[in-house]
Amino acid sequence: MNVDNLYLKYLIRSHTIIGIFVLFFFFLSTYFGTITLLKPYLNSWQNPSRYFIDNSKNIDLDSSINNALEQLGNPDDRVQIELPSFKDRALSVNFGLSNKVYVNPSTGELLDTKLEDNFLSEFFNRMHINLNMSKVGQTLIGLSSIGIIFLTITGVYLWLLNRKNRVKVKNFWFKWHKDLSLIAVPYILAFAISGALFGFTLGNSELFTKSATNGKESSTGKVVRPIIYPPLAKVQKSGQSAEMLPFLTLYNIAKEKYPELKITNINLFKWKDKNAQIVFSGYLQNNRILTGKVNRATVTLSGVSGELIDKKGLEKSHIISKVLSGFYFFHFIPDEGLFIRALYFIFGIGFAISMFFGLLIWIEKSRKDYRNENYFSILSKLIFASSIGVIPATTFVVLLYWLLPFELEDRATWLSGAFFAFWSFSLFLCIYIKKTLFTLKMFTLFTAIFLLLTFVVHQINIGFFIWELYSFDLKEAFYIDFTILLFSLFLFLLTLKIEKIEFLKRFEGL
Amino acid sequence: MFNKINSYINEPKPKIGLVHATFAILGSFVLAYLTMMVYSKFMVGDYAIKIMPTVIFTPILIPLYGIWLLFSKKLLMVILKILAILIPCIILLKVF
Repeated sequence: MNVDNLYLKYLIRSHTIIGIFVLFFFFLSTYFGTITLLKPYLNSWQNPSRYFIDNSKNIDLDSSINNALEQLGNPDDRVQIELPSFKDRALSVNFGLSNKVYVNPSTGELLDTKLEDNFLSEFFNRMHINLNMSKVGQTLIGLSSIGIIFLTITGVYLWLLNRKNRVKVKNFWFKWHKDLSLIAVPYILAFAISGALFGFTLGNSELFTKSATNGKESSTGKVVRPIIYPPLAKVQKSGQSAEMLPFLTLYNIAKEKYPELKITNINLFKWKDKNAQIVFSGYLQNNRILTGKVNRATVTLSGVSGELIDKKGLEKSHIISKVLSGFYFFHFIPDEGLFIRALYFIFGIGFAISMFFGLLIWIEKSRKDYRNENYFSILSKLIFASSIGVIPATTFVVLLYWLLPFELEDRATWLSGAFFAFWSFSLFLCIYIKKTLFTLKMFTLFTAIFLLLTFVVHQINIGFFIWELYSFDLKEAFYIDFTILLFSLFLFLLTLKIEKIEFLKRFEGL
Repeated sequence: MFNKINSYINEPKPKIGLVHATFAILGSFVLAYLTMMVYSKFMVGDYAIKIMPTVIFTPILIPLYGIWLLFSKKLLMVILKILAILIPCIILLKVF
């Protein structure tokens, strides 16, 4: 592979410049995206109502759903039920635009979720997709994703060219930037392409719709949605009421009719009518990728007799639904457990470090070329505060989540404000302290203290100590608390040793 | 003045300038969108098949066009490359 020297210069320069531009948005999106991998476990951890003791380990479907329906005023159409899973211990029921009702699945008891708002998972997700800047932020993240695709292609191309020339890389930041990025290429591409789809092109697809419809329609959703998301059931109400089979019986019939289906949701149509239908939907255990969030497999039964009305698997799915399901799967891993999430987490951290090192390459090189110490000193402080200062700010907001009373008015505003206030304070620390290693030590110490306090305050708030969480089978909360404790102890140790670590001395003077 | 513009767009550039970069970035977005609009216009199938692939492939085409436009020593080459795709796309979209 021979490339003109001039084109090689263009490639390197464009890789550097685009890298610097997209870095700020994509680094933060990667950081918060890595945290949102823990969203299913956060749901159980952050909501006090989920700390119920489940002695029976069986789901009492009939009591749970009937109690919830009664609470909602006994709706009979388009009722959505979400079964308990690792994503949420409770069973939830809602219809239309009403609030969701949550139920203890083993007793059918209604849970008090009045003051709960899933703030932590919602906040981290908002920061991941738009940095709290609404549509503008989402577009910027989408554009950064396109930038990352460019960087990946040019980065791999430059690596292939360098392999041919066999120039040994000596610069520390360069070596690790290259190695970490190369290892994570499939991961980066999967997230960059799907991120660009969700963040940019999906919301800016009017031109394609106008072109496809010869100018008649510009809303992509209006034209495509009925094809990709056909209605789950078309039921005509007969007006004659009828006795429904118990939910557990219908659930067992559905499992019998479709053994590969892992049921996650139930939908009720024209319930208690002679024509009532119940739709069980979920993913296929032997094909999770193509039956993800967008392309669920379903079994439709008659509510009266349990007779099979329809069964939808992959053979009836539109090819675009399958493709989109694949995209959703690789981006959201909706039904995957801890192992895959941990793998993604490691890749996420590796990729974030690679981006950070990429920036350090530029700072080091530019410092030699331009010798404007003040400019690079300020820039370094800003970068340090943005990339490392965000960590203690995150742990601060998690601590405050449990410290502030749930009844506090505008609680979400206080929590968001506290996050940004601490993040800004970290910039002040960077400038005031001046010494990079000592600032890093302070950040580590703050993070350790916040995490330890979170561990303590959380348990006081929920009324369970860590050994009780384990003995009462509140596994998600136990493992999160245990990880928080371990991590805070590790960080305390690190704080004591940080200035002696050889590797970290490279950051001094940046 | 014409000679100045002519020599500016014709001389090989030793590094990427602001104008080259702007043309490459804007050009890549425009070309990617136009190419996919042509696809959605002429593709046979329902609206999901006509529209959804465009949404998926546009973010991949943008950097590819960007790299193609980047590999141009003269500004004139960048402009010609853009026009080489732009004009047929506009003709296909408007005439058919």
